[in-house]
Order: sequence, then C-alpha cells, then structure tokens
Amino acid sequence: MRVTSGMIINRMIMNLNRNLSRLAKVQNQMSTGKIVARPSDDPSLATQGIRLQRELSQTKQYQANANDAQSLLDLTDTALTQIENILQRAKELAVAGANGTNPQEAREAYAAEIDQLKEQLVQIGNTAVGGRYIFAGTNYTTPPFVLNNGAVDYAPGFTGEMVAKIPATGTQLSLQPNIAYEVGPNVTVPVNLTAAQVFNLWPSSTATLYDPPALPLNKSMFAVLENLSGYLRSGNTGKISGESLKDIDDQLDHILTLHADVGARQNRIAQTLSRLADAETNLTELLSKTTDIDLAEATIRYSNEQAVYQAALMTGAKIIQPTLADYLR
Amino acid sequence: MRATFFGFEIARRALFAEQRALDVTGHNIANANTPGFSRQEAVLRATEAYTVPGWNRPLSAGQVGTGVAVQEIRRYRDQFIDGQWRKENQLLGKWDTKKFALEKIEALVNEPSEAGITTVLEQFWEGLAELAKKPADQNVRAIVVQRSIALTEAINHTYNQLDELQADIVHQAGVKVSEVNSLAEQIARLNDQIHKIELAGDSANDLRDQRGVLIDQLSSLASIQISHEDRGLLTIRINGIPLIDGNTVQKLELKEYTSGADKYYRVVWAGTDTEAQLRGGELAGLLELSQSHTTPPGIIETFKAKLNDFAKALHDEVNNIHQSSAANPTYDLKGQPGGEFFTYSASVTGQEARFLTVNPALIANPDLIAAAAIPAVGDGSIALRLAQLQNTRVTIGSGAAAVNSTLDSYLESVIGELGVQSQEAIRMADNQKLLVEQIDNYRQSVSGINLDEEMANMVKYQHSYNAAAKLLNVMDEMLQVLINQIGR
Repeated sequence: MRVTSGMIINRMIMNLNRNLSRLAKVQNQMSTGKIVARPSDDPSLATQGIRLQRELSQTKQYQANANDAQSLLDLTDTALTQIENILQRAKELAVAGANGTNPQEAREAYAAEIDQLKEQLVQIGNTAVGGRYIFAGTNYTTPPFVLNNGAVDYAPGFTGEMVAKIPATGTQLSLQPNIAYEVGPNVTVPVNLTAAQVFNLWPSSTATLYDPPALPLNKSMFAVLENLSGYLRSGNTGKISGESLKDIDDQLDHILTLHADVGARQNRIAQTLSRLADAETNLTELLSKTTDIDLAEATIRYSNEQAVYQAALMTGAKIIQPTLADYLR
Repeated sequence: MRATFFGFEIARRALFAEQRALDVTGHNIANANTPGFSRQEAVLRATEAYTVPGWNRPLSAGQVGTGVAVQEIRRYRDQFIDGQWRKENQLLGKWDTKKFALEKIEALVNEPSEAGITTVLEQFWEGLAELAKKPADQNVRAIVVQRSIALTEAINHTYNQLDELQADIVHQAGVKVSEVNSLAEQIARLNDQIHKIELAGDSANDLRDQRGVLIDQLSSLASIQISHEDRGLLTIRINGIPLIDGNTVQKLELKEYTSGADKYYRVVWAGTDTEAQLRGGELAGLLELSQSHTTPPGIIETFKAKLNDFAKALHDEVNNIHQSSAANPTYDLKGQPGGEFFTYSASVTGQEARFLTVNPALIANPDLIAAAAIPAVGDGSIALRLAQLQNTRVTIGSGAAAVNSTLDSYLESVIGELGVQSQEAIRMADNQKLLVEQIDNYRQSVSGINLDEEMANMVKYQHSYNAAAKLLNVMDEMLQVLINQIGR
C-alpha cells in the first residue's frame, strides 16, 4: 500500500492523543482517589456508590437516634431507682409509725419526713435534661408538676391535661403517648415514661386507654404519701398498717415493673447500637471497595502508560524526520 | 525523406513536456500539506506517429515517432473511498456532538460527588429525622428549613442549567444551519465553474479538490447523499430532497413554532414547513439532544421531564403528610394546623422543578412546621413520618412513564441512565473516530503526496530535460556541419 508522510504524521498524532488521554484519566483517578469521576465512567458502579453512601448516612442517623434514646433511658433508669429508694424509706417510716409503742412525737417527725419525701418525688418528676422534661411526654418543654403550698399540682401550661388537684380520683386525664425514636427502617423504640404512668395519675376505670407495661392503681403515689402523712399525724396506726403499707407495696411493685421494662428497652438499644456499629463498619468497607481506587495498582498503571507514551514519542520522532532530500546532493 | 528540422521538433516537444511534468511535480510538492489536495500527474503520451496510411505514403521505413506531449493532468482520487468516508463522517458528527453535550450534562449534575443533589437530599432527610426527636428545638427547626431550601434550590438550579443548555444547543443548531447553507452556496458556485471548464475540455483538478473539501465539511454537518455527476454538476440531497442541484441551492432554515406558552424548533426547507429529515451529521445530533414536542422527546427534554416528576412527587408526598386534614391532623408549634411544606413560586405545569420552593411562611417562621400529630409541642410523629418517606415507595411520574420507587432510588436511576447514555455516546464517538481515521488513511494512500516519490520524479524529469537539451545541441551541431561545411 502506498504510504505518504501525511499518513504517518497523522497516525502518530492520533496515537499520542490516545496515550495522553489514557494517562490523564489514570492521573485523575490517582488524585481524586476514586475510580469513577463521572457516571459515564462506569454507570452501575456510580449508582452503587451513591446507594451505599446513602445507606451509610442512614445508618449513622440511626446510631445518633439510638444514642439519644440510650441517654434518655439511662436518665429514666436513674430516676426510677431514686423513686424506689424513696418508697423504701417511706415504707420504713410507715412500719415504724404503725408500731403502737412509738410516741406521737415520733410519728410527727415521720410525717414531716414523709412530706419531704413527697416533695422529692415532685422534683424527680420534674427531671430534665437539655431543657427536656423526661416525664412530661409530648409536652416536654413544660415541667409536669408544681407545688402549691405543699399540694402537688400540674404545672400551669401543661396543656392537654386538665389542671386538677391530685389525688382527685375520678378525674379523667387525656392520654400522654409514648415518644418513640427510629433506630432502623420503620423500627421504633419507645424512649420515655410519662408522669401519669410513673406516679399513677389515672383512675383504674381508664385502664383500657392505658399503654402497657403496667396497669394503673387506684391511687397516685402522691395520694398514698399524703394519706400516710395524715394518718401519722392523726395517729391512726390501724390505717397505716392496714392501708398505707399495702398501698406503698403496690406502688413499689408498680415501679419495679416499669423499671424492668426500661431495663429491657436499654438492653434492646445496646444490642441495636452494637448491630449498627457492625453495619457501619461493613458499609464503610464495602463503599471503599466499590468506589476507591487501589493506589498501588493505579500507580503501576500510571507508570505503564507513561512508558508507552514515551515510547510513542521516541519512535514518532525517529520516523517523521528523514526524507529523500537529506540524501540527494 | 526526412524534413530538415524534424529533430528540433522532437527535442522541443520533449523540453516542453518534461518542463510541464516538472511543473506538475512542483505543484504537488507545494501542496503537500494542503488539506483535501489530490496528487496530480502529468500523463505523457507519445505524439502521433508519422506516416499515416494513404496513397502518397513515402517509401522510407515508418512509422516514425514524433516526440512526446502531455495528454492530460490526471487527478488521483477514489470516489468510492470518498463516499465511504463521508458516510462514516456523518455518524461521527452526530455521536461527537451527543458526546460533548452529555459530558456537559454530567458535569452540571455533578454526581457522584459530595456536592451533588443526592447529598443535599440525604441531608434533608437527616434534618427531618432530628426534628422527629426534638420537635420543640428552635435550632433543629431552623436547620430543617435551611436544608429544605438547599434542596429546592439544587433542583431549581439543575433544571435551569438544563434549560440553558438546551437553548444553547438550539442556538448552535441555528449556526450550523447557516453553515450548511453557506457551504451549499459555495459548492454550487464551484459546480458551475467546474462544469464550464470541463465542457471546454480541461480537467478542473484543483477546483474539484476544493469542492471535495467543502463536501467533506458538509458531510460532517448533515446526512447528505451525493449522486453521480453530469459533466461536473453534482446533485446533493438530504433524504431525497435536493439541497444542491447543479448550480441551484435550496436552503435550510431553523424555524420556531409555538405551542401554548412553549416554543419549539424544527429544521425545515426554507420557506416551507417540510421538515428536513436529517439522519446523521452534527445537526441530527444537536436536534436529538434539544428537540421538544416530538416523539420520542429530545434527550435534554427527557431529563427535564424526569426532574419535574421528581419535584412534583416530592411536593405532593411531603405536603400530603404535612398538611392538616380531617383524616390526617397535624399541628405546628403553636398548635395550629399545618399548611403546605413545599409550594410552587409560579404555577406552570411541566416546569415543576423550576418553581419548586419551600412555603415562604415556613421560611419566615420555622415554628409553623407541623411536626406533631396532636397539639403537643413535644410530639414529632409527623416529622417521623416525613423522615420515613425516604424509605417509602411512591408513584413518580404519570401515565405510561409512572414508576413506583423511593425518591432516592428514582434520582439514582436517572443518574444511572445519564451515565449509560453518556457512556454509549463516548464509545460510539471513539469507534467512529477510529473508523474515519482508517478510511482517511486509505484516501491518503491514493491521493496523498509522498515527498520522496515527488523528489524521485523530479530527478527523473530533470534528467530527461537535460537529455532533451543535449539533443537540441547535437541537432544544432549537425545542422551547422550541413550549413557551414558542405559546399564551401
């Protein structure tokens, strides 16, 4: 086939261009660290990468949610323990007060302490973290309780509830739903207990509206303590041993049930967190394997392309130079 | 009997012929780098021998040759390879144009990256997830509003850029149409000149080369068919309708039509409404990218439609959850029923992605975001449902194009489709380029100048010239003997 100098030069330029563009592509991969710079480089890999990135972000969000849930539940756990301690103390005082051999002055002292314990319960009921009252349900910016001259009352502005004196049994209370955090796709875990649940502020006739885990008792915790205080001051040891002790036991059992439920939730959150941590590790690894370049392999490819480019330059230079004119005299 | 000055004539003819051949060689060397130039050769032929058969034929030995002359200046060109080259060049023009435009679209979509629209969408969902946990927190609400604005702005921006690109390409098509018309005029003029020259008996070699270059350029722009010529007059058609017929030209025109509030464009034969059916060339590529109101729709138009579907689905699904109704009560921080989350800043169907925006009432006061299903400030169940929308399959698009997928997956599939189309265009363009270069090599092999060859020819003709000059010299000396020495 007849070969012209134009053909040779054209071909050399074309091949140099191709070499250079391959070289540029490898260099771009090395400097970004990613295999795919644009979707057209590898469409399926690109969409896979985007999808994995999204799953990783979601997993991290679930982890954040689970961590928040854990801190709320831990605080609730501590509060319940404190309530148990208070109830235990109240029981001791009741037992002592029921003992007929003690003088009235002793009972007066007990009654004063019971009043103090009641106020501590109110404080525990108003536990807050970060501006959020943990027993206030979905009205968490307002504390649930106030003390009006020693009487426990709902705080004003605690909306959705009727502001009523407790222990007014027979007063209807509206439901304070649980708050739930999402720790997986369409998987939620309840993170709170409401004041009504903990302190038994429902009459039992509304049991059907009640959320598990524990059924309400007839009396609120405050009512029990107020009654006890009254009996102590009036010296009614029969009522103390007959009614108050049983009431305190009931409240204690109730708290223990709630506490067990919170503990179960804490376990579940802990397991979820560990599972999410594994998922995060796996996804990160998969994402890296899918979208990141192997630097060693890319470096070798780069050297290869460079060598080819230099060879092309060298041979090209040699072939385009000599013509017949160099040899004709 | 021999004429006295017979030998001079032979030498004279040789000198002229070799000089002419040298001229042609010189022309070749001078035009070695001229694009489209075809190698020319002076074809030498022995002139008519003497004697012709007849009654009065002389009795000496015959026939005697009478020297050499240049019969024609032949142009080396293979029509078949030319035709092949032009056919493949049309495809190259089309795919190259599509490749560039799709690469531009990839750049403006900017995926996969940390600044792309999928990242903005992800952050939008995250904002809502935080709101579900802390609905009374002012910071969290402000962040939700900001991220929603970022999302709508990203969608608006992408749509607008696609729109601008489409307008740019239409403008480019207009420019290319003018180019086609201008090339057609030039070719027609050359047709005329070549025709006149060749009628007179000469070969219009250089003019044909120029015309070849122009036709090559035209082939890159439009899908042309070249029919056999009639004494220098070519007919070039587009899909059967003649663009150039001898020395008359029928021009093309980019015409604007309106349909309602939309404008769309077609390439038609000037003065009519008949569409020029372009199947290849850059014009076909530009039209495939930018056309609207056609079946199937143009490439950019398809992407715009998908973005619109996405924006509409986002608007409708979020508002469904957020807006308060009898079946779905929602409450904001003040206990009022929730309104729209997303709105359109202007109401134009078919351009939802351009006008999607966050409800200005929410931007002014993030407290109005309805995160609660009951009038309690700490309830985040509506926000939770909004966050869970990320994993919910919804219907996106309408009619035959409707799909059932999550919003994220829809976006991913659009990006994937963009990648596939772009990859195909790159591959086809590269393949065509190789093919065109290959055929060009064959063309060069037939028509290109090899300087070594020309220089060898130069030497050849120079030697002949020298020998002919020497012949003249010898004849002259012989005549001198005859004239000066006989009969002294």
